[in-house]
Amino acid sequence: MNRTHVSALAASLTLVTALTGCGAQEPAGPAATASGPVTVTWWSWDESKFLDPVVAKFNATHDRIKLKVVKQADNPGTAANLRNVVAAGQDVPCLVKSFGEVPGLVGEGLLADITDAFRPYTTQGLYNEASYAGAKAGDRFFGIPAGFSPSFMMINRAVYDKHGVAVPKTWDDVIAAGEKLKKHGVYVMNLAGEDPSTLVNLVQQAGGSWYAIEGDSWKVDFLSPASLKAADVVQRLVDGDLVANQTYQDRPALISYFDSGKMVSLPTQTWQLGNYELNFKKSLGDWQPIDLPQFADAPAFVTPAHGGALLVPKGCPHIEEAVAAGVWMTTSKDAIDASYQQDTKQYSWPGAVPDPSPWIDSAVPEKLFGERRGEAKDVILKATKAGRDPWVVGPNYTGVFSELQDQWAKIVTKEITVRQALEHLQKFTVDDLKSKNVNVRG
Amino acid sequence: MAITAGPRAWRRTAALQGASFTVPFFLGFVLFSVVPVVLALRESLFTQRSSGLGFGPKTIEFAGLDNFLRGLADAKFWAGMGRVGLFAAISIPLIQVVSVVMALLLDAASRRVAARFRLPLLIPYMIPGIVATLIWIYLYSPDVGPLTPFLALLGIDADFYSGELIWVSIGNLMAWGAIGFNMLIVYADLQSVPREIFESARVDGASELRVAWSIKVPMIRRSLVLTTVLSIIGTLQIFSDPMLFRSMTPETVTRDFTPIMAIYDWAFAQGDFNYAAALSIILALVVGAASAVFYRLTNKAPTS
Repeated sequence: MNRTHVSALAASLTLVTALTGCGAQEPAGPAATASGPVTVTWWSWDESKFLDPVVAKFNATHDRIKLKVVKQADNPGTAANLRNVVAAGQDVPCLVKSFGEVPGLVGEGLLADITDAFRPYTTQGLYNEASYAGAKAGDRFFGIPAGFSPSFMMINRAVYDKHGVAVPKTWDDVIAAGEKLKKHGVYVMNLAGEDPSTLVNLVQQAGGSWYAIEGDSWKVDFLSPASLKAADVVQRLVDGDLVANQTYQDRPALISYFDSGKMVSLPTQTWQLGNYELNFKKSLGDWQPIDLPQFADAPAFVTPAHGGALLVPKGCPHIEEAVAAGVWMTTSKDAIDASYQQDTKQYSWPGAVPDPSPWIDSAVPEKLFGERRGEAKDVILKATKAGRDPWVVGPNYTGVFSELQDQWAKIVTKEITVRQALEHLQKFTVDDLKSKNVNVRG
Repeated sequence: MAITAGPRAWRRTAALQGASFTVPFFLGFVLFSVVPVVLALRESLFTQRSSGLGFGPKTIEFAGLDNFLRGLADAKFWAGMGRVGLFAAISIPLIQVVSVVMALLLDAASRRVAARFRLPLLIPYMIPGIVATLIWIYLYSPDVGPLTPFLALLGIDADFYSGELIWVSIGNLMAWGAIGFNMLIVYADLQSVPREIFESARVDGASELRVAWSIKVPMIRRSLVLTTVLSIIGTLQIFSDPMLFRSMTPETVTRDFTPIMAIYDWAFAQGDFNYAAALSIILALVVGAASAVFYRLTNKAPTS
């Protein structure tokens, strides 16, 4: 059961192609490092075609540290394996592709505090500011920032034009477009039953966060104005029957559905474009990249930009080397260039670096946008610059996210309203924190 | 080997030799059943506690029966239990009836005809559960499966993944796998009933239906009890089928859809092994109790 929800967050993590892991077979301690190169083991469930070139490049350019990739089956498999090795304290890898939010994983006791090893890199101008938050719990680093992927939207302009529907600029416009398109049997968006990322992204775009740290205590607020503003958009889309509910689990079915012209607007990120380019048949060239719709009352153009991290697990025997390798993977030109894929002609999106513009052009496929391809570069750059990360999560977010997924499923099947789900999550989260003896208000 | 011991010692040696054949089984049983149960019992008595913001190291504390009390009050866990219980109450009798009818038909047929049907009816049981589920998931898929368009031809709008139909879909899959097995056990039992009894009933003027209902069914009561108890245990612990269905229709099959799915989620998605262990023990007690009650109710009267 691959529960790999393709949330925007997981997406940006995917890109990151994090690497290194600590020497699985080597005993911990300085004695091991003195005798030869340190092997850093990196766990990831990405396809080998993404991992191998990056590892090869690293090993070709480094003498003191060697990188070894251990392929994992999938997201939940990685989570289960990591929990086991951390509990056993043996064969702990040093870099792991993230399967959750850093604070949630720290709350589970899975990650190592790498602040001392990582902080020197923060003064070298390697990272964009927005990328740091996703690698921290409180003010300490537990992973190497992997950055974010800029969010924008792509619409099937041919269908929009056919039915005389204007290109949406706000979420209100999206809902209005949905009402018009519905009459023609077309859905304006897709909300997969397992993937609450639309709601999470809207809350972030509204500048909200469900958790906040106040002093030595958590403040939990699922019913903040920003959260309710996001809830309202989702509720109107669901109530109006304006959205499809295709699952991400059955990829071929999903792609062919997107290609069919029955669903015409996709909030998206650069990493997904190559896949659409390869697999769309009918609608290739009909799509247009547009700015992510905004809240009508937004004071400035904003895109959600919550960053991911390359995890460093507790028990990694070579934290300094792991951090060095991880920083190389997330920021070096060598690593980004090594991620180039012949079939999609794309690089993994360099979401952590201050200026990703050299790689933008290759991120835009040739045929997907047809003659509108030229618009993509501006849309992506604008989205990158407008990225904001107000998002903070607490130590129990792993469980809360699972609960959110189930609540989300009930939202899209109209069993409950978004507000009811948020009220439930407020109580669930506070009760859960209290039961774990964590300080909480809310 | 010197034969100096008396017959008693010899008998003891023989018994030990005989028993030694079970050693491999018992080693496996102890290692993979008894030890995990003991470990689970121990885990279930502890809990992990955080402090402050919850980012620091955790302490493991003795919690007594707290995890069990929490489990007994866990509405979602019991909702899953109720869901599965209701499903079992409907699906098991249906599967049993069909199995018995098929066994009776086979029994009434000539041996050659019976042999021709026995194997094909057992084939679904031979297919590993996961593979069977994957086959059916494909057949059910409203997007790529053949059933939805076929039923649409007949004017039926069926979504096998919807909340209304999901248990029917799972039940059909279970029946497909279980009927052949149950039928075979019942059929074997029927074959062992002395044919003379049927003959004398027929001589007394009993119809074939009467023979089946009044003689054959009571005669196979034991194997019916056995297959039913096995079905109860299997159904209350249903896991892989709904887990795979979840990958296709997560909005219907939630993570705590069945008791074992909830346990799996607590242990492997949320990392709370202590609570998961307590829930496992509660589930084992419920399954044991349900089986015992059924066994008691059905096995009172003397059987052949």
